Amino acid sequence: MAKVVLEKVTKTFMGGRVSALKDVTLEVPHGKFVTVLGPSGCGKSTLLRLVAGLEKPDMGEIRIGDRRVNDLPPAKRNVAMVFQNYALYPHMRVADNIAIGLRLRGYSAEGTKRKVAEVAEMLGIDRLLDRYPRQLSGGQQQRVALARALVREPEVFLLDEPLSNLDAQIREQTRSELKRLFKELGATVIYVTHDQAEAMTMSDMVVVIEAGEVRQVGTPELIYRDPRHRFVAEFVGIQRINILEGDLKGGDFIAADEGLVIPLAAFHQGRVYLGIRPEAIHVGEGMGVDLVAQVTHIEPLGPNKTLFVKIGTKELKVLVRADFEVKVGDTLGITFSPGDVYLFDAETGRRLYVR
Amino acid sequence: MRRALLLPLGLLVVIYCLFPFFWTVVTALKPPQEVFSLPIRYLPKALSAENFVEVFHKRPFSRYIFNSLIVATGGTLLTLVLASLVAFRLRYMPVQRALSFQRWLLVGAIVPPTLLVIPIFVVIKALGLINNPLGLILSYCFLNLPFGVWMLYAAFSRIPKELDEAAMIDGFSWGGILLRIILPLSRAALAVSAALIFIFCWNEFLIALTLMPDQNRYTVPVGISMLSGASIYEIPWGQINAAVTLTTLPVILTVALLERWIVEGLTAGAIKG
Repeated sequence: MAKVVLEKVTKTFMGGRVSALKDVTLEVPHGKFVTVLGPSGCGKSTLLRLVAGLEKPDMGEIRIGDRRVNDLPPAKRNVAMVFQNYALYPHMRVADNIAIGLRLRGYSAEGTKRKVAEVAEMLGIDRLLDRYPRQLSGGQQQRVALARALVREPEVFLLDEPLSNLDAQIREQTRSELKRLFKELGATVIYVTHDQAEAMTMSDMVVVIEAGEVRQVGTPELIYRDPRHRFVAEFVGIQRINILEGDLKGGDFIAADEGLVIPLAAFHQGRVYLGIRPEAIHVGEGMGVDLVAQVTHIEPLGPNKTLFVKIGTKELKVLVRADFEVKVGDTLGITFSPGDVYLFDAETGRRLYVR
Repeated sequence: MRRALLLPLGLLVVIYCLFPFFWTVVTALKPPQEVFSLPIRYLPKALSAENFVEVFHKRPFSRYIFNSLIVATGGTLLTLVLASLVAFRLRYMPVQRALSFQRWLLVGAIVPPTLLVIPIFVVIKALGLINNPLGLILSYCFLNLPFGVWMLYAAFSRIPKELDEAAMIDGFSWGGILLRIILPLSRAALAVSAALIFIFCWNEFLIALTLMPDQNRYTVPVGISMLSGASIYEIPWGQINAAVTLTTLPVILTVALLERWIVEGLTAGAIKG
């Protein structure tokens, strides 16, 4: 196992016209499960492919362990990859799909067979070894793809949205299985996904990427509690965060159309975005900021429900317990602590620590 | 209702297509004196192998078959090898460039082979390959390469790129990816191309006649055209038909052999559908 380092890596496509990664510096520590999270087209898959050696960086350096791997072909990097569509060889039996990487590296027939059997048993596919990929269900194919990666005992595992083709139920089960498996192996894993639930539940560390730039690196808790960029705040969180555009003036936040004033005692002048999570807003008063709002719409969510409330011209989402009695048209007092408010620079999107 | 209509229609088409072949076989099997008998006999009174014996007896016909086999097999193999390499290279080009490259190939394929006979002759002569099967093989390869590249590029394009990438990470070389992943998964297209190119080479007359003037180098179509009777006024129809019957056999065999692959759809299960 080894750490992976990207240093000032830039990658463009179509002769420089499309920029996929911009000056990305990142360290994936040895033995950690690191998730690269971002919307589609943000460059997260490109990052994985650069580490795998399927793409070459325009600039910058990539190191695995202590080796600079920029000029090494994929096979020499000692990495294994699981593809979103599994990429199993359709004309080979499951056993050969798993074994081929070992055979090409000159393992003995005996040793190959033993290792394939071991990995197959670990993943519960030992009965499927004589089948062809087309005879397997999606979940079974996914395990074969995983077995093909595991059997080689690579230094780094690269997983590209490996769960996104699975049904919701089996996806959740596989999620926790994967987490346990890689924990036991103590493996260095780079896991790419656009699903924040996967990122939050599985990872030791999350890397949030937007438009080819790393917006924040940190533990799942930190990413959620202390977003450093407006995009991170918006992308992470089951309930999308409330964002209001406005100006800070004399310590108050004044919404762009002046329909709402929030006293914050924030000492900064200029245009900002204000973020407050639906779960940080409560019905009642006395937490520091008190507002009066009208309920316009209600969305039930099992144990909770989301209230869409109007304050002046602005709409906010408020998360309340499902048994909270309320109906559309009611007028409520809502309250939140100024400490739960995030302020972001309107130009750069960076978090402002001005309170 | 549609079925009831389709069946007789299909039958008609089959009869229309197969009747000439049937007539060839029947004529070949008639005793020579019955070939011209009137009224026309659609089924011979007695079967006779005389025409077949004559063909081999009077002429080095087995030699012609051998020449044809060499030329057609060689031409087919060489074309498929080169077409695979070109199509594999095109697979890694941007699609737009790969397609425009193929459009230029197509332009080459549109020129009628008849127009190319003289230039081909000049080139092959310069190479010193007149009366050498290699000259004919090279010519056939040249004529069929555009078709081969088109067929194989289309087939390769249906294989997901992730397979190549998985193979690269697994440690396959470029040759390994082509030989052990791409080609096995393109078996159907390979089989169709092989059959069609083989048939082209097997039936080709004009270039074979031009590049192989030596009697011992005749291919089957050239050999058949040179069959003649006792006098220049006699055309030995029985023998010609016997020869044609014999030479159609390898073609039918080829197609029959490849049919299993042609029908098979092997890419199923490559990725989740």
